[in-house]
Amino acid sequence: MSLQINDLIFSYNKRDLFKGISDSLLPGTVHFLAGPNGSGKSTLLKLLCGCLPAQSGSVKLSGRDLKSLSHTARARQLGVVWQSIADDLDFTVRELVTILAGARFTRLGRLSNQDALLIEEALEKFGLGKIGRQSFNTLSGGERQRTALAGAWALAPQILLLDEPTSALDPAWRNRVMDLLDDYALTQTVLMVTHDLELLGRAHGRVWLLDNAGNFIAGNAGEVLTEGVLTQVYSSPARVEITPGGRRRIYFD
Amino acid sequence: MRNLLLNIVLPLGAVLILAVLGVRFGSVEILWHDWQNDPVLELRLIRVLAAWGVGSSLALGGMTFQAVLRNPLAEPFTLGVSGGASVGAAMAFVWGINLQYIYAVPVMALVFALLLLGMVLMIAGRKGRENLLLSGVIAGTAASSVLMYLVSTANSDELAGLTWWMLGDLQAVDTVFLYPAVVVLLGGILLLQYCGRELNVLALGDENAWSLGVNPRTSRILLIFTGSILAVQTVVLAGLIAFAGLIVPHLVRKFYGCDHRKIVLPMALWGGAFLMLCDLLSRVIAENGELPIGVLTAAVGGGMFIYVLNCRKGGRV
Repeated sequence: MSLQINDLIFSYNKRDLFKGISDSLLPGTVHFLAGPNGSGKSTLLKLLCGCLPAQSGSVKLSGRDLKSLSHTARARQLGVVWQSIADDLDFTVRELVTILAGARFTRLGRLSNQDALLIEEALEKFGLGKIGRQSFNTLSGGERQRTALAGAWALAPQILLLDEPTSALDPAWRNRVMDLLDDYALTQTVLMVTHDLELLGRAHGRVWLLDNAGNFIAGNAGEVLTEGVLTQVYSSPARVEITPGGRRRIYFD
Repeated sequence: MRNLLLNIVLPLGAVLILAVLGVRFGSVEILWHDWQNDPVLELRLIRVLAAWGVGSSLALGGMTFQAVLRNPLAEPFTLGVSGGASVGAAMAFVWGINLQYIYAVPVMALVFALLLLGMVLMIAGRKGRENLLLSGVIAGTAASSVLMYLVSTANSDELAGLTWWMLGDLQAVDTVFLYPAVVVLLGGILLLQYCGRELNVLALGDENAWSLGVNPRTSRILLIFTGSILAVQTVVLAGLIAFAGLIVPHLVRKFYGCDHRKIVLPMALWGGAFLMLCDLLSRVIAENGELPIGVLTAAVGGGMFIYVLNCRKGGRV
């Protein structure tokens, strides 16, 4: 399923964040969204899932306008892993993963054995099998992120948006999660917000960059992840090296 | 099977046992050989039903407010909903509007409860848990000052009625309100059971709620309205009963977990059982006459409130 944005316009507090941006994302590889703090990355994610209404323009899932879908159908097709989950009530990890995948289950009645198995599989996959009964608000930041990811994995939406899903993970888990996401992106559309330059260096799909002046730069990784563009976007001199493995090493002096 | 036992059979058993005890014990002995003509038996049955209905409504109301407002300390009493309802009901009572139109009491109670809750939510804004509770306390104080004013202007007949409103009491429950209230409660149980998903995801924050397929704004309004109606009818029936909407949800979540798809029924049953127990105690503890039930729940609940507040600082409810 593809994700297209057409001429999205959005301004906030009289500041133009997006002045008519368009692009489209397809399955195949993980796509990235990056930019300095306050450039509007999270706002763009909210526009993409319809959580914030754009002033004009449209978001389409395989040609179908997002607004024409019912809430449940939308949640089933387009999943989002946000930066945080409110922990005011005392859900256990297993309860939370079930709730996060809830759009695929029936509203009333118990989970089928198959569904229950899926939840267990998701917990195992993200190393949460042993702490399934533990309460979410006792977890570390990394475990919380893995819980959110396990929920998205169990939901298995055709389009998956992630807001810095690896920021609190240790290097081993970060790599494992990226491998899982790479696999997932072979058949589904995945867009990930990140500040992690190493991850950005792996990109070989579409890359969206936002800067603080309201510019939106979209292109293939090779076109966009250049010293010139990155220096302009981050207002700081950037260096890009190609490693023998074919990845980019990006750093700022 | 184990779930059925735990979720329905056990709490239902507790409710039935407490119902039997509630009918059996009291200041007057029931004349069992002539039970068909004993007015005490009928009064006791009504009272037991009222205790269940009020306790159940309070627990469900508290559970709903806690999930929707993402605050484990929110409940009808701390949010000022009960306070607003009691002012509305007292006005209808003191100004004699209820004499012309009997349903003036619940209608005015609901209007004032929603008015006060709206003010509390507006004052608190989105600035976090303590702010909400402070606003609720301010609103509750304002409501009780209006109530005091009404007391000061009331004549001695009205005064007796007003006093039980402020204390919370199941003695004089009016069946005109009780039977409709039970129907409303059953409707509320069904609606909340259906909205288990909404309650769950609203507790995770608005962005998560949206991406999980729930419009936070409309669901929140619907659920707050439902919680308010449940809370208001308890005030109309039995006056101000503090903290019951805090104690029961807290205990039920401790034993049953937080998933609202699973805890609505146990909440409704245990909530009723809790107040039936309090009612029984209030009749047994005091040797002559009885203790107003609101006094009992306030004493227990006050301690519980402090406990939950302190636990939260450590990161756990």
